[in-house]
Amino acid sequence: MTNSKRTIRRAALALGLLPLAACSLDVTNPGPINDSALHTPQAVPPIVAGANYNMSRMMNTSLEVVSLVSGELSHSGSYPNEGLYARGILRPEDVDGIWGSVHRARWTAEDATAKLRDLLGDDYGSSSDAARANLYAGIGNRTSGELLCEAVIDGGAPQARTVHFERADTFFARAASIAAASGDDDVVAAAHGGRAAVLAWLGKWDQAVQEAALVPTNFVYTAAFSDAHSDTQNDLWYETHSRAEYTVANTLFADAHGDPRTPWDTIYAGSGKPAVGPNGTVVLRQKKYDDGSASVPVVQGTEARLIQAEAALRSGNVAGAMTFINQARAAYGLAALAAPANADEAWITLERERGATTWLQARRLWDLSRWMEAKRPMDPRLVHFLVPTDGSGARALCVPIGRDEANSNPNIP
Amino acid sequence: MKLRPTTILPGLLAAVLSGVAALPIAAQQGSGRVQGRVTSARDLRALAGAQVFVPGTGIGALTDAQGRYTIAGVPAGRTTVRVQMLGYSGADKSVDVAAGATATLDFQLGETAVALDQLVVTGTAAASRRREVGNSISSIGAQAIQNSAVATPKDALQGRAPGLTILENGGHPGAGATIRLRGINSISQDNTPVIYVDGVRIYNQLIPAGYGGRQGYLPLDDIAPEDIDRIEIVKGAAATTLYGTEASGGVIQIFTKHGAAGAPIWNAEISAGVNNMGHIGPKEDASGYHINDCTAAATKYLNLTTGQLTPYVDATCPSSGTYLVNGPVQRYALSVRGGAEKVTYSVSGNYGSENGVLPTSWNKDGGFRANLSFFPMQSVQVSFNNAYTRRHTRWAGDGDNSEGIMLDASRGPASYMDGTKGNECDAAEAANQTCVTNGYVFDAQNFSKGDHYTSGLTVSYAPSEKLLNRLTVGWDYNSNTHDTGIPWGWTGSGQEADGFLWEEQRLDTKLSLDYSGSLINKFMGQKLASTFSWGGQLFEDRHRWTETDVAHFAGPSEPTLSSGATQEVYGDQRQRIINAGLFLQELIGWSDRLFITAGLRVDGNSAFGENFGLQPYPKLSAAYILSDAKFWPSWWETMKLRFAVGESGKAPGAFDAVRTWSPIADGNGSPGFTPSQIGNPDLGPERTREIEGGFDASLFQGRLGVEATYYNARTSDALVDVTFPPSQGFLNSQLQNVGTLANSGVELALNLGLITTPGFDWRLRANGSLLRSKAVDLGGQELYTGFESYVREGYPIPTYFGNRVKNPDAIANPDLESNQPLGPIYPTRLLGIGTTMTFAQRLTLEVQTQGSFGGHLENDVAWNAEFRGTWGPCIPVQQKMIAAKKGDAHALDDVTALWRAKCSLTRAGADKAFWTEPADFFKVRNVSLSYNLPARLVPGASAASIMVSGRNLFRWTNYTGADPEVLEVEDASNSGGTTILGRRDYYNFPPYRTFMASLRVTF
Repeated sequence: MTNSKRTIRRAALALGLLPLAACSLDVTNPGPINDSALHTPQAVPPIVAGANYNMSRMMNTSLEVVSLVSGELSHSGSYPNEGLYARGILRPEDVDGIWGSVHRARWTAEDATAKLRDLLGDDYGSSSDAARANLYAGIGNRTSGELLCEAVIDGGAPQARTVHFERADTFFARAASIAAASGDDDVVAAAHGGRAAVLAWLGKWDQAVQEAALVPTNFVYTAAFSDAHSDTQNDLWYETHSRAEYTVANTLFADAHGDPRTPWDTIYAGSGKPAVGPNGTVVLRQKKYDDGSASVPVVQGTEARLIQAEAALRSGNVAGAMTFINQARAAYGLAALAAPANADEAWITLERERGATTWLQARRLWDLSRWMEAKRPMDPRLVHFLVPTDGSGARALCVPIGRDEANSNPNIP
Repeated sequence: MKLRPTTILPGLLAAVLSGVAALPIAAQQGSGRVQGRVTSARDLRALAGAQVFVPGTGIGALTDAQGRYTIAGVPAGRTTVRVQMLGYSGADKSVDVAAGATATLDFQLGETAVALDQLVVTGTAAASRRREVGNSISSIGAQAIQNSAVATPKDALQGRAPGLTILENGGHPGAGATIRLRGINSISQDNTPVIYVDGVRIYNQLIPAGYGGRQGYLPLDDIAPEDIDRIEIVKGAAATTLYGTEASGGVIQIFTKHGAAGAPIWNAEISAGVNNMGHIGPKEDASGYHINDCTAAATKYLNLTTGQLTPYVDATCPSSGTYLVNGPVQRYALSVRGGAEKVTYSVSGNYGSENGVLPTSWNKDGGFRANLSFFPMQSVQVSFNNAYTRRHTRWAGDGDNSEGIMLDASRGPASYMDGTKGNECDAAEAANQTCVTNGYVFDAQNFSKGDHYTSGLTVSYAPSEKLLNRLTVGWDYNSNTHDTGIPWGWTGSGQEADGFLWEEQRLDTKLSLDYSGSLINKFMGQKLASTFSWGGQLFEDRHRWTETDVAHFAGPSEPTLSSGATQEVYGDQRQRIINAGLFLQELIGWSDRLFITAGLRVDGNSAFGENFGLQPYPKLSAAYILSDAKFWPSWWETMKLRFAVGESGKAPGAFDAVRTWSPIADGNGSPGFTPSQIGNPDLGPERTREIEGGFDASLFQGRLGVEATYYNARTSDALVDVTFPPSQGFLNSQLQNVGTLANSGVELALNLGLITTPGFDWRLRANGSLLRSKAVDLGGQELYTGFESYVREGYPIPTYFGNRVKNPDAIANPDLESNQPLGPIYPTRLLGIGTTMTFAQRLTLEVQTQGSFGGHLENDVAWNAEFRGTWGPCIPVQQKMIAAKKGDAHALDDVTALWRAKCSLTRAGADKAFWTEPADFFKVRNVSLSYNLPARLVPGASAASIMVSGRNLFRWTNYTGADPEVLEVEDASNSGGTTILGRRDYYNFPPYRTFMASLRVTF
């Protein structure tokens, strides 16, 4: 072989081998985490943090939708879906966001409890992480039951929405028990508060009152938000403070200026006139969430008092009900209300107080649904809001099964 | 996270080594030169740009403007020299070359519409003659590109090949286009053709310009048109089998110019011109979205309550009364080509600067290309090709963007731009008029910067005429940065008032290794020919993407990513994917008339599921030269029948097969996991099997050329994004191999020499295509593809669905039927007509048109404007509707149901379905008039020409929006660049027209 031949052959070999030798053939992507990597005790805190994250995202999505559908806010912007929500229209094709968000929160928390049971073994019953995971599972189920028209569990067939309340009861009870063992007082109180609500919604008012009584009036447990990242930001703040998509105008709460539970202010244009949003509606800006990190209450002692008030009212004890209502008001520095003229007035008062106490917490839709179903007395303006006389039809009071669920779940008829 | 290794490596390595190492090397001999001239046989006109070469070697040259060539390094002895040129029959001649001497060899080429002996390489294992290839191949030559007024390769493709869809996405300098070959054959994966440049695969997808620009760069556009020697296009799976996974969308290969032995040939080109925008939108809107005219005379909207035309004021309307400007354009290009016996070179550089028709819209780009070829031995050729382009673009805010002129101006008084600086709006508001300040959208700073470098090293080794090897190592590097900045002191509210800066950084690289070898044998007295080919390819794709955002600046200084009070990293992706494959192919030829090719490609891909193995793609094709039969009439000089069947595929995305969780931080800042993707260990590529058949014919001495093709493709195991029940916790859809799609069509291309005299030459070319697509089986699902479009079984892919007016022409209220097909998004009929007229071999008129029919587009601008009282065509309708509402019983006597539906008086009644319109168009893309100057006018030059040209001069369409081609790229791409199918017209600025004058000099 001549030198030139050898040179050519070696060069060709080197060319062929160089790029192959320089790289492995693995596909890499350092972002996503393989499912198998979560099966370790070190993953316990992040698993629970994931459940917490999804609870906050659930509240974030839900309070935007519920605020419009239930008339806590009205629409002043340009988003098309929000325009529908404000008119009380919840179509399957428009609710995939809230349906998915609520279910992801519920599923993630329930999955976390199962994973933690495996990973923690005997420590599960006294683990702060396990207590929180169960609390989040309870809140996920409570929210699911309050908002969704039907319960669909893990791709199963539709069931009555009360199934969620029953599951929530179980998770709240377990959370309270584990938290008591781990010494997490906030989780204990939150679990009792959450359990009080779902027991009430299941018609177990006696037990509900017992649970509610365990929650201090000033207690608040919140879903955490942070403006450190857009994924953890309180979007209602953004949509009302950076944009003008929602307004308090044209709601009952616009009449309650000065109530610390329902704060808002008026925005003025450069001309000195009140500013209007993209659809021409005057912008009255909610101030409950006045920055992107504003947390959202999910369990409150004041609501526990109102559950006690409702139980009293159901048993005809108007005076007892007003005592609990005024205890709740006192927690906000509000003057006590005078005794109502009759039970009907008391029911109207209770509805109004619940509305203010849980304002912008994604709770009002369930209240309106309960009031309508039980034919409880309510503010005439609210009656007109819920059943308009202009022929536009009754407003939706729960979220139907989303299009994605209906199309993908073979158990949905 | 890492996945398993691909198992194809050992085979690929073996293929490379066996091809290179096992071969004898021929001894180098003495050499001489061959020179001569190439002319047209019909009129003895010099043919510039013809390829003259010694077959089986890398030795060759291109003819200059006088048709002259010189080939150095020709082996001494009896040698065959071959000449080829698009549009002419090839020719072989033998010559005796003495060592150290120069032999002369002239050629006269006959014209033909089908050059059967032209070499093509795209879709073939090795360079093959057209007569041997069983599938259709379209070619566009340098002459056609030079004669047209094209600024980018995508411009050069428009209307030039059947089955090729090119939709301009918007009217911003630097904006790319949507390219499709034979329509849509994948629902979930990108349908853009694979693109090669000189054998190196480059990044082919649109690179989104991000938050503010809403358009995107197309890396293909980084190739200077004057550097292109020819473009080859193969369209379907039957032709792209040897490219394997990723190639079912077809392949476009660009060959750039190389040097030739001889004295340096310099080419210089200077161009200058202007971009200009005509009227925007429907003729009933004289204000042109309040962009053509923003004066007080034009800024009115219909108050949908009172029925009154109500004035408002745009306090920032320029003194010219319009937001449109004429944008100057300048381009410069300089190249030199030449070489010596053992080295040839082609080096070029270019620079362009183009202003758009909006005040802050411009693009500057420039770069160089250096193609070097070395001939160290007679049997070895080494080519080292390098190209670099830098782009810098400022985009005017476009699309779904509250700082976009189309969105704000067309919404009239509902513009987002209602903040003022100083007392600009005082007078208007004192007069109780709404005041907007749309001009401040141009304060938004939307910038893109891109660096694109492509390098390829190709070693061709032909120890004999029987044995050929080619190895290419290529690297394509795309680095892009996109910024959107709102300056401190902005007129908006919230974070915008304090300013913000959003930045996206992308790095897309593609390393390719491509080897092929061929062994050629002839038997039975040359009657039976065999070409056995083998080879393999390996591609490594890396994608890195980082998106960051900062907001709330303390003051007016120019911000950086650390300037804001809040800083956020939105996302960071770092992906690496490997695809590797081996192929074998046997081509059998009988009497140089019948050719049968059988091949097999086997692929592995690191994105395949854990349970999925290698993927085989077979092919079979046949070509028969009927015109070589003795009975064939002489006036019908060429008739080739062809047939091909083959498969290729598309791989899923990097981690579509794996169950994953996404890292997050909860509201307390604690790290956590949230469900991401449910995973599918059985995931594999989708496979497209295509059958195509047709013929290529040339008649009447090349005066009529016909190419006709029918194709029928079926994509099985189609990758479909399947939604899992959200109640199972995973909300992201998961790719599954569940669907079957069908594509079929007919393609016809005609080339007609109407008058071919030495004094006047008039040629006409036309191509047309029918494209049919259908979702055959989606496993019972329907897939939402965005913007009211779906893929549903039995319908074209994709199709708009929604409410339809059953009684559109009736004078009545609309009678609606819901959930009806409103039409396919992508065109079903394509047309391209062009003509070239040459007078006295000096003056050339070139016209190229493009038509697209059958597609639809959702005119969301009209939908958004009509319920705001600013859509011109609706205003008279809405006035009548308001009158009717007030009791005028005859107000609607001439208003049809369709228009009553379109022109709702309320937002609640507005429906995009009524604004889903046919997007048919026919456009005159290029008109150019060039004159070859007499040499005496340009001392020292061997050739010179001047050209005046116009682009997008005429548009015919019934589409009522800004333009039927527009697309918001941010809609269509995510951070990874994967294209979705849905399209909508959402405030995207339409393409403009361009007038240019150019001077070209060769010396």
